[in-house]
Amino acid sequence: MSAYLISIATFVGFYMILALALNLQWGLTGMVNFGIAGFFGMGAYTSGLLTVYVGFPFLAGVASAGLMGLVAGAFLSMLSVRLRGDYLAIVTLGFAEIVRLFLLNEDWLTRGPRGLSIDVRPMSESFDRNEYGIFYLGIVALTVLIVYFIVEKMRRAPYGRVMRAIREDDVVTETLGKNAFFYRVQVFSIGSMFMCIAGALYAHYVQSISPDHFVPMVAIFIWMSVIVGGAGNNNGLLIGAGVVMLILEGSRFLGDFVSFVDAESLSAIRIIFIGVLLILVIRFRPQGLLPEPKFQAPVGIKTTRVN
Amino acid sequence: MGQILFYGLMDGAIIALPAIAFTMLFGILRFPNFAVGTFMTVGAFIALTLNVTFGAPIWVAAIGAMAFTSVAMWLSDVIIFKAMRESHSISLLIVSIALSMIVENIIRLFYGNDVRGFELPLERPIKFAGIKFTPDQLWIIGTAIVAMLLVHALLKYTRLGKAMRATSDNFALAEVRGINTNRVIGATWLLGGALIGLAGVFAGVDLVIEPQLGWSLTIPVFAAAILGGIGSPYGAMVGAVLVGIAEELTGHFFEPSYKVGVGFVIITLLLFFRPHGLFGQPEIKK
Amino acid sequence: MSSILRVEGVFSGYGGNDIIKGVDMHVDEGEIVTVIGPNGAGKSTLIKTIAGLVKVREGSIHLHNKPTADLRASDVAHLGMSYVPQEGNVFRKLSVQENLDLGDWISKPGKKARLEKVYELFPPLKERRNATAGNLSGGQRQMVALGMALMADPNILLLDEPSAGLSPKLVEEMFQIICDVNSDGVAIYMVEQNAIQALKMSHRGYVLAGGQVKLADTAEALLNDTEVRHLYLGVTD
Repeated sequence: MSAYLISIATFVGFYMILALALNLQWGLTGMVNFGIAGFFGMGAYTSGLLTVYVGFPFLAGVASAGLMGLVAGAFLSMLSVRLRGDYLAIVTLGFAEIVRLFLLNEDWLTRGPRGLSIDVRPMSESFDRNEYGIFYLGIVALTVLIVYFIVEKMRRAPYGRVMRAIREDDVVTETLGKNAFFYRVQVFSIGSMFMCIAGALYAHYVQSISPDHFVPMVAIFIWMSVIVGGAGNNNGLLIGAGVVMLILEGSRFLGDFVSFVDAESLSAIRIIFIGVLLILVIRFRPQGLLPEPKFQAPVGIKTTRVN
Repeated sequence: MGQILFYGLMDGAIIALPAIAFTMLFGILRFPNFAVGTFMTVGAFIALTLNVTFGAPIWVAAIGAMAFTSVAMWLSDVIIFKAMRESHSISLLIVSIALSMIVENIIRLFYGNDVRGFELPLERPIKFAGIKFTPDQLWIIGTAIVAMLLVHALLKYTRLGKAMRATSDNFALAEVRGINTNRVIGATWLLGGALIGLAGVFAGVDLVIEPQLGWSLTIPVFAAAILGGIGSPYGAMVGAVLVGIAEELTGHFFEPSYKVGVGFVIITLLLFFRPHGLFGQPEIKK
Repeated sequence: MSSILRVEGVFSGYGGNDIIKGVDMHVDEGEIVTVIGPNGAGKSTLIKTIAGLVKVREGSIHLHNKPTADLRASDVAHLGMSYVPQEGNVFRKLSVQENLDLGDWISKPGKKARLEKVYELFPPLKERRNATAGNLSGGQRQMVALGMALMADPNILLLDEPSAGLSPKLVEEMFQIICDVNSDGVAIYMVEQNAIQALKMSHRGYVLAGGQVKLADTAEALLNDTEVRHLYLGVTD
């Protein structure tokens, strides 16, 4: 296996974790989160800074990132999770912007736009370069599996029924005696924790992070993974994440064949292509490749008339 | 302090028009259109082409930008949103983000990533009552005020304006009373596009022109609209000035680079304490 | 006597399901027709279908012999039909006066006289003409809604639960006003929970259940029908 494919697979892994987390929040519980890049970046910097400055080992860094995600997710959701979906979208997006501004401006801590180099990696002496890529892919794959099983478990458990009930109509859930607010905060925080863990794994993989890795575009890629795969369906979004990466990377190769466009234009064309595709999917196949099994489609995609 | 208030007013003048457009579109179509900022960028670049490439004076360029942006936004409805009227607001929101990605990168294709500016005669700042400002800034504030007065006159005194307010208030009832809501929607896109195009020119004069121009103004625009209460153009005007002043105060007392974050903080706190905006009334839940 | 409104074999509904399953009915000139039936019978869906807000899947609707099944609600309104929804029937952010002005959107001649007439029918509205409709009491909002519908100078009024949420005294008044409007020659089609009271002032009635017409007869006959009294009027003899 070439090093390139391994690195692509690793990136698909990061996307899968983020997509699973978003599916937990949105696909299953109906909470919109456009602040994915914020949590992803927060996790990356938390683990990065703690390992670089404080000397935390890898695992402790990742765990701290997860904890950070839990706390930040709880904080943000307590403030905003009661809001209507479209407002929640704006607030979470704004949150991601604040995180990015913080990373950019507080260079005493984050080194600002110059970025942060992270040399801490688990068992980096035991392998050579190529082997190490495979080893790290293993770590990421293992994390994907763990997250997948947790999310699936939550979906299948009675807890999952509460999540769907909240998604469909929280007035009903409230009257049934389930505290919808509490459940929403819980689910949102857990999702944010996964996002931060993905960020930490990413940081130690690329070993050099800067604020411009965590732009809102990341959120769009993840949303696209979930939508293309089929919101509410954990298997679908794993495929969705693969498809999105295929498009991202596949269109990169386009450059080898069309020599008349420069790299800058090519990257613009790629994003235009992704945007068009996203619109087409929402327009013509809103349920995604694999629709949610046996339950109704999630709120975000169900077609209801205003008024 | 006067200086800060002036700059706040200036920021407010730039975000007021797109905030009006945003709130009117939101009021009628029931989804937040994230492409609003990007269409400001469109306006700025069209004006740039007319002004720099073709040597048109800035006011001619501004009119051209308004016309172009207006039609472009209307076309975005005809091509994309019209067929999706029944879709959920979150789906439409994502579509609008995708649209803004597309438009922003079309701009990149044509103009690249360089930072540009209009060709304007250099003007010496004027000092009046302890406040320093340039004639350009006065023009922007003045033009914004005139545009808002025109919007007010349209909404209050014309048949179209009344239809717009009625449709935004109660879509189904407007239709039942004989108003062709399709036409109202089309007119709202055209009007909104013109306001956004003009604001794009303002932003281009006050800041620099680059493909990300509008995106950085999106959150403040949303903040102004939400502050004023969704669907309320007058609220959006007041909201814009308040956001502008809050931004300048933050810039003055904290760190200027956090100005953009102010909008977010305002939105969050406001939605937390007054979910229907500062002046909005709660909707009756059916 | 010719029918103003003819509904023939109509199927309609939301999403994938038909709620109205093959309804035939008609309203003649000058008539008051009341539709009664249990909750979930499809009364509201039927009235919205006639008004043009819910798409007709099958069958036809004629207003003054013109087919309207494929028209938008706004076009149906231009043919002389005025529909008052049960909920959301005023523009909440607009003033009373602006609401009434919008009722006259079609701009038939004689607006001034109609406005006088509406203020005569509903004196409280004249006092509060500059108030925001959303700030009015429920009863006054209902007046604005009906007044707005009358401003269009309709020849048929569609009323969805005109008495909903009103005090008994106001219900009485509302029904009286509806009778007055009818005696000016406006045909009335209404859906009512206050079935007995509504039938007493009506010429004919329909019983709707499960999206179909179960019974159609004169109002008097329905009021005297034992089965109707038991099942739909809640009377225990």
